[in-house]
Amino acid sequence: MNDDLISALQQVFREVFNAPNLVLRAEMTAADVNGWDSLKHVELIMSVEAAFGIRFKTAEVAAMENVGALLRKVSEKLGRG
Amino acid sequence: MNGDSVHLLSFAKLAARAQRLRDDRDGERRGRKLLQKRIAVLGGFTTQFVTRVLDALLFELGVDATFYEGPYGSLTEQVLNPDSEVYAFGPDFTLLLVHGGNLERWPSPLCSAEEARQLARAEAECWCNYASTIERRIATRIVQSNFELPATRPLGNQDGLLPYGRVAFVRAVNAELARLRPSSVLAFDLEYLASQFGLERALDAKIHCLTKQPFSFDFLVPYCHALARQVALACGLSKKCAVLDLDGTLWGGTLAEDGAEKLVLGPDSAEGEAFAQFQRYLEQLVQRGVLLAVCSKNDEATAREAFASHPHMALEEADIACFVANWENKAENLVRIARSLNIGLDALVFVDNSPEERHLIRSALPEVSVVELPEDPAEYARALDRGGYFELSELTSEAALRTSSLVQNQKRAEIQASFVDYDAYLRSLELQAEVRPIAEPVFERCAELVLRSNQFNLRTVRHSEADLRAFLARSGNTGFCVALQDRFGKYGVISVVLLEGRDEALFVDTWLMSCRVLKKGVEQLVFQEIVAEARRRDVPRVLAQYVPTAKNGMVAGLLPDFGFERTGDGEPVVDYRLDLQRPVQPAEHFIQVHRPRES
Repeated sequence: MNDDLISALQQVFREVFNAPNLVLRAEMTAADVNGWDSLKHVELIMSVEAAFGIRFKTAEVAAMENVGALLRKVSEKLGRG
Repeated sequence: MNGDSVHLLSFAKLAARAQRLRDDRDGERRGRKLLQKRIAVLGGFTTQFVTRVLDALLFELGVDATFYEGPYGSLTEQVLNPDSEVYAFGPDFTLLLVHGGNLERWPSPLCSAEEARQLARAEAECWCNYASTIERRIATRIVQSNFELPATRPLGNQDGLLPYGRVAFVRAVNAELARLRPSSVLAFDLEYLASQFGLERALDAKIHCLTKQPFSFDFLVPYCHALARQVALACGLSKKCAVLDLDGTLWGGTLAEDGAEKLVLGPDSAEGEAFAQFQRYLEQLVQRGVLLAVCSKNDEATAREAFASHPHMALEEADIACFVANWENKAENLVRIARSLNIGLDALVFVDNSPEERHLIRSALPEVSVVELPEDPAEYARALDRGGYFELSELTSEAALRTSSLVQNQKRAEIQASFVDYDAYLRSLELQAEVRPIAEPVFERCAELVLRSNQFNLRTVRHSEADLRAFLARSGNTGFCVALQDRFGKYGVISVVLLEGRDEALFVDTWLMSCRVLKKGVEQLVFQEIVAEARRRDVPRVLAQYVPTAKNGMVAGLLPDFGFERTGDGEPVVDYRLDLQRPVQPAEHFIQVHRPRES
């Protein structure tokens, strides 16, 4: 997976969660990050949309089980494999 | 982060700010003057996003809020159940936040205009009933939102034009809400805000489905900012005065270099038109009671001359409550302006196109709000307007008169500064007074003074209106009041005297005066009137009394100053007597006295 992509997504996480030292791992889930509740999740997804210029469908937003899945979805929408 | 620009941040940055605030609230509170307020948020939608952003915005405005949020879908229950948590919370403010989806009644297709109207009224009454129910149960300030226009139009273009259209119906409900709402409730005009932002961008269907909160995150910023400004207004934190720079702010060009004729202002150029529009917006602010001051690096005479003579000035010198033009530091000038207008530095809004001056004021005077003016003058009005600095609850004629009475006081202070000889100053004021009976049309004003004067008040007898009438009706009693004006304007009724006829004496039951007219000669005028009344009755003495209170220390020496002698050893109430058979000391004043003929 593209390092730039991971790094950019990590930056979004750091801003949304106000955690400047956060390090993204593919297995990370909502349980691992302080404050990642369902409302924060929506805020996160909207920030990802804005940062990468992509749109998630309503159904897609709820269905991401972990950071790895999010990364894959973002990658797909950017047209990369 | 400067408090003024916080509403210009993106939602993401504001949410981050809100998070930092939650993580270290005690740290953020240190060194800041904050009002503590309890705020209940009852929403017809999920309110957590609103509350988080509102917290951060309120904090920047000086309000440290503790929130109670009603659970999703519980608005009706929270309001109608007398044992609900919202009542137990004891909120200073209760926010009733709704959106179009909360409307319960919609007109059926093809219903008549009259039926639609009645339905709109019924819907509005229901929402007003929520507000009055809350107010009946607890003492709280309610902020109530109206409804945004629908994002879709099943009737297409006709949706706003046919009475059963949804767009027409929401407008009708909002109109009824405005009519029926109790005047104690602060209205929040969501309809305008959403339209201003653009319904397309303000409502987000995806977010609505995911979170049961209908607004886009981008819209939440102006939404919460407007809410915060309403709460701040109700806390007395609204601003009072816009301080304006001249060159580059009110007109293009540099006055000192170009001269008044070459200033860019008026319909002859696009840029000139932009400045003219900004001045017209400021003119509207003046008309509703916002104060304007000028703070410019210019020669004063030249600056005033430009105001007076330039053909396209929308503002006049009379609109400016305090005009400061010199070459000194602007921070010092702002302090001077605040003192001169008798308002706090935190009531000022600094409007200046120079980023250096703005930076200076932000660092030197953090309580002053600084508008982040955009570079293009065509956008000035909007930038100032968006800041929401001058929210008001209702326009009173008193507020609209504020500029004129303040301008008057300013002029009085200006000429006083130029006089070394106080008597010469008093003469120059051209003071005139009317001595009139305590009767219509000034009776109420006199009664008000009797009830409210604390400082210049010899005996602080709180006669009610009925007592006052009874006193004046009693045989042997009389009274008069004094209305004062000078060449700058009228003060109105400022002194009330009640005299009781006693055996061989006249007793001063009441002698009070407004502190605004201290040492202008009214004290002497009143003394002369009292003596004249005693002589008219042919009584040999005037009796008086000083009843000390916590507030009237300033008149402890009033009677001795006019030659009254202390009688007896009374404490703390001191009795006095003025013997009219001995020479009475003259009491000079420079007031021309008129006595309107008694009807």
